[in-house]
Amino acid sequence: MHSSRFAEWMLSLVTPQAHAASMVGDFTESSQGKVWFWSSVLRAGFSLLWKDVAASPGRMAGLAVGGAAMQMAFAGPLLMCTFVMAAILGFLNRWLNCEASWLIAPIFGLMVLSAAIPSPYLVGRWLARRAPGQELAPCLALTALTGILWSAAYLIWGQEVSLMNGLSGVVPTLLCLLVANISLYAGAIWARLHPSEPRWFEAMPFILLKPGQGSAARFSSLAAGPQRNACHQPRASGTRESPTG
Amino acid sequence: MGEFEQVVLLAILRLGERAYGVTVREEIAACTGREPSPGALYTTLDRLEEKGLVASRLGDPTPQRGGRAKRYFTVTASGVGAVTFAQRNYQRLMDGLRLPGVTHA
Repeated sequence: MHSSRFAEWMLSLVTPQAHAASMVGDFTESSQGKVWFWSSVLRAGFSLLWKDVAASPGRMAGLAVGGAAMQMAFAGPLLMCTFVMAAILGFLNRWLNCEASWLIAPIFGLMVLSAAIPSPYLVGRWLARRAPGQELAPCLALTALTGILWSAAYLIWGQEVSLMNGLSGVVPTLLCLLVANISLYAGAIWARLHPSEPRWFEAMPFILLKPGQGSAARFSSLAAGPQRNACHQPRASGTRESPTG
Repeated sequence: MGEFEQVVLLAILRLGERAYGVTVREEIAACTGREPSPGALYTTLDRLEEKGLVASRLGDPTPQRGGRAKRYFTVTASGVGAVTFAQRNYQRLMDGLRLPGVTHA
């Protein structure tokens, strides 16, 4: 993909496609070098993303808290697996007198990776469905909330701050958070690029399903709720009317 | 309305039909001596449009922009009213003040 096309794609994640194209056109026309071009793209993209968070901080904070709760809900089955695995290892050690402690590290490592990748991805999609047109903004709010919580944990427990399954230390924690955040944003980006393909987990837990309802109908009932910023929906081209503020 | 929003509105008014991202940034830099960051400029333009103070339309794609259209901005009647109101308030605050290098009309 050509770099300017990639820049346009990046900006189209936080602003309508036509606006993203005109912005990249402006940066191309100004032509002050590649460094300036990419720094402009990144700064403009982050500013537009932050604008969506700052415009409704209460709503975004609520979505971030909801996202954190959903992340725990999605990670629940993995935690159950962890407990089952710990029970099996305990059983092997105690009753069969079979030394299985060497299995602990790789199994728990896999558990951490499993929790860090699919669960945030699902949460990213879940959050994106709740902010049509601003799909990445609640993810940024959740990232900020996670950062605050982990910073507080670090201040309280210091080096002892650990992720689930005993992966301890600051560097592994940061790496795991990085992977989790990449996964979170990937989910939100997927949802933005596929607005008409909702899944059941993207509607939970605020939708009561009626028998016979398809997923699209369920999502339309979700999306029919009050939306503050419908003007952020991506548009193909042309002018747009400005809502009065 | 914030100071930078007023600056952007005034720059668009000065440029008339030629106001798009690049010219607005150049006009602000020429008049104020400060080059606005792209993030601040486009965020402010979007916010002004959401407030209904400016409207935008897409022009024709041009080759020097990689085939991308310019997004032209115009100040709406509400925008003219808002910037006039803000400038009058500034003017009232300035009345009676003697500042070095500032002459009153």
